[in-house]
Amino acid sequence: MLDTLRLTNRRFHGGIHPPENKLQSSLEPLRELPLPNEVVLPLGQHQGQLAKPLVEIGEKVKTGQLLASTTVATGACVHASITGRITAIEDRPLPQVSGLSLPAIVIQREGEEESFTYPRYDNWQETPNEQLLERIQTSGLVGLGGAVFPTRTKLAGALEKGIETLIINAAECEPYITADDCLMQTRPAALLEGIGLLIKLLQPREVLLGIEDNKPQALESLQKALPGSGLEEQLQICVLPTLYPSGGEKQLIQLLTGKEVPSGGLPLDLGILCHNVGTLAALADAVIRGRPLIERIVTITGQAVSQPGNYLVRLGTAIETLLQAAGWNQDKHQRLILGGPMMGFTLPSAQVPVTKAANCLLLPTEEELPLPGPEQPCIRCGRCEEACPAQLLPQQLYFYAAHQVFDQAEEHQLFDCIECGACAWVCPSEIPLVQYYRYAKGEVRQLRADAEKAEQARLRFEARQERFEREQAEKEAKRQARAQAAAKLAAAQKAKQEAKTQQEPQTQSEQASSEPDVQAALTKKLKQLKTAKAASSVAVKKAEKGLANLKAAADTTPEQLSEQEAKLAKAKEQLQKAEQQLAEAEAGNTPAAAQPAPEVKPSTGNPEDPAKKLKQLKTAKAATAVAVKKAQKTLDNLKAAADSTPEQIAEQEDKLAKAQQQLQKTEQQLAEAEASGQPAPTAAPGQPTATPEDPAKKLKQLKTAKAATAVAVKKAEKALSNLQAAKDATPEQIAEQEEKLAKAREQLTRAETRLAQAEEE
Amino acid sequence: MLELLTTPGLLAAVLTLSGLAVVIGLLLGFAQVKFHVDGDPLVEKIDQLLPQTQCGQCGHPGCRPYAEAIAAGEDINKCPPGGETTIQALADLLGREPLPLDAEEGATSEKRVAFIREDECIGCTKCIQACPVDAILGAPKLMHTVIVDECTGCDLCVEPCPVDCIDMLPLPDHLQSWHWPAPAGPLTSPDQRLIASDAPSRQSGETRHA
Repeated sequence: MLDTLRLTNRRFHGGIHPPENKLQSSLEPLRELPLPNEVVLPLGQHQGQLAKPLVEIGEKVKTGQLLASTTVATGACVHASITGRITAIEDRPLPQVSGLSLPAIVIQREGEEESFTYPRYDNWQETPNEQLLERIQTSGLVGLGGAVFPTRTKLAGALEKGIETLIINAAECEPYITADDCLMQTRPAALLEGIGLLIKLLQPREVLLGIEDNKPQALESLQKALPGSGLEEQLQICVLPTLYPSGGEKQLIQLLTGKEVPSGGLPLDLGILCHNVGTLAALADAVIRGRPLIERIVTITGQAVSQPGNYLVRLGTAIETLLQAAGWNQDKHQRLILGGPMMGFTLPSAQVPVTKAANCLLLPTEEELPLPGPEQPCIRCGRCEEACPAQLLPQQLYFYAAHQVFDQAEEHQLFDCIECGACAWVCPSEIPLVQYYRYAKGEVRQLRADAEKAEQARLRFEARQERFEREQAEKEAKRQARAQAAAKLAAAQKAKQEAKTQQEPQTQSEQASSEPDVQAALTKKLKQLKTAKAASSVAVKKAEKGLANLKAAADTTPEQLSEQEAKLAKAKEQLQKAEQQLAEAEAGNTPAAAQPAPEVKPSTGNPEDPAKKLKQLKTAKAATAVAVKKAQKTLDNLKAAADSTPEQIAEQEDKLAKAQQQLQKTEQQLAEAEASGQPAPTAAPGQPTATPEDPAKKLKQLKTAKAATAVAVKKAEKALSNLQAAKDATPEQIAEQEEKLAKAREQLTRAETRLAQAEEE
Repeated sequence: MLELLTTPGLLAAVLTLSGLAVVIGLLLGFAQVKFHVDGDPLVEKIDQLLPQTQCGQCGHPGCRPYAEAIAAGEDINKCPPGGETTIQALADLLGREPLPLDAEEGATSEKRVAFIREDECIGCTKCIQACPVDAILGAPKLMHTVIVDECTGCDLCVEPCPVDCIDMLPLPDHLQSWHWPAPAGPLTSPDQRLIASDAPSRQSGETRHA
């Protein structure tokens, strides 16, 4: 048996001997807490991915049931630690300095305790590794030493690389904490089973267990359990002199193997894997007994609790509940520290759950662990350098961190600092060195993340610019292609036209010689002719519309009208031409376009022509009638207005007369068209012929005109009398007005004569 | 004269030196072709120091154009998102005097990201066109949203929004991004201390309270 025991004489640099204070808790037996009424199970740690909830609010869950799972390397599954009902899935504060929250599943205890049973791997010796790893993953196992790194990820890495040495960390070097000590005393068999499992999985050449010499009972218990466990041959228990921080992974490796983990490297690079005893016992429970990680041993110690000791605690239990069970004396209590006095931190609140990482709750009194004094300037005594187990230069790191020279801090291997707190402990100036390093590490990580994000933003910006340029280029290319195509088309058309005019006489012979070509050309021409016809009919319509508009507008000059009419006539002529060509083309095989049709016979026997013309004429008539009415209305208005000059009235009358003349013309045309069915020449000068409806209409118009003139006369008379009544009217004004009146009267008599004439007729 | 030239020692020396000159010249010529660097490496270095928010607050359309302008002699103090840190870094790189930040609103100390009030968004895509890093998702007449991880907080989307439904919000504290604050420094209150190990228990309470 003695040959399994080995004393080591290796050392690591630095280290300190803080008061151990372990007896407060280690002398007490392991106590089990009554089941809590509520547990809060965060879906993740402060780092890594969150697990995905598999349950819903209101669901009833059994102890050990899987609540949330994840497959990512940095996440861990979450299991129900009590039987009950899920009351909430919400953000809850984590036991962390920041006091920040993470999503958590809350279970209210309900009914009798029922365990969710997982199949047990009784014959784990024969079970394939993949199956064991799967179980380790689904059991939510993480490193219980403090880093809470998912065990499956760690083991998978080790399996892939292969290891020479397996180290079991039972050093538990931090003062006050005795959780591992307690575990080794109470459950040595489970620990040895866990070691056996790892040996089976990883096949290491040597297995070393490092334990500090301040845990004689634990050592004894292990030695007792060792025979019959099947590990006698392989397991070497190494007793280490008590020195903080011998339980640090790198320090323990150095103590046991003499090898140093390179800066920035992992123990795996040396073929070494290190596991904490708590993790190994949980591993055995998960694989051999089918119990996922739902509880852990927590040391509650310090002079502010009346019953210090080790407690078996369901995960998610509120720390407050736990402290009350341990006899928390709130008067003596000075602060609540999660973790040990060296590496732990003060919790802002006790209303947070126990997580997988919680190994110790320390409640010291003021006398026991006084608050540090004010930070003094560094005196460069160099004690920190002597104490540093990582062989760093703590004071240099401190200066760089305090003055934010982070690149220099990195140069000085800031990230090799294990944050053990030995430097701060020895510092006579009471500088919170570790906090400086944690701050600097956080800043450096932040800067790295920012740089990464900036790089990504730059790439995205450049990609966007590139895309814009590409789109611009594509647009430009398309535009140029279109311009080229248009130019080509224009050139082709021009060439065709030229060819047409030149080859006019040869067309016939060509036609005879190449029949299919001609056929193709014919259909093409037909198409072109049709298009031309459609275009000219559109032009006619436009001209008509323009004419109608012009006529409708009261202030159109007769010149404009006639111009528009001429346009219309031309358009119609063109339409006829086109129609004729089309008809010819359709009727005979002689290509109509081949002979440029210079003359157009206006009277073609087009069947649809007369009816169309008739319609057009009718429309024109209606439009002219409207124009006449408008002109009359304007005239009336003018006459009604007292201040309209006789010239204006005369002008308007003139317009009216013209409009009426036009109306007559249109009507005449219409009548002619109706009579003969032949299109009337549009631009022909109209003769005032008496149409049946004309006299009555004229009479009416004349009457209206007479009435309007009479009104104008009356108005002029009234104005005159007003002027005469007004004392300040100048004789000129009166004379002017009298003149106006005379003119109006003259107009009236003229209108009356016209009316009389009309009535006679 | 001719005698002097034909002196064997002198001729050897002249030949040797000329030969050396030719060989070295060839080497230099080869090196210039072989190790030719495209573009201005200084612009690259300056661009690396800029925060890449592409916000245009310097008056240039993006960080790289500003880097080019700095390389051409423009002032180094026109980047509000970078703040004093960037100015200091640029001053170190270029050997210029660090200038106080030249900005209307001063440096934006806290990180902000755009947030679209989605109920009010009318789907006009104007913000999408404005975003220099394509961090806004959406389609015409459909609600838009900001990809928080990609947003640089440049504010450029706020102005074009016709219904003013874009807010610049500070990023919430997140566990992943939280890190330990800096200690208060020498001669400040011990209440600021957070780590238990800062309390060497070997010292007696009396000396502390004295």
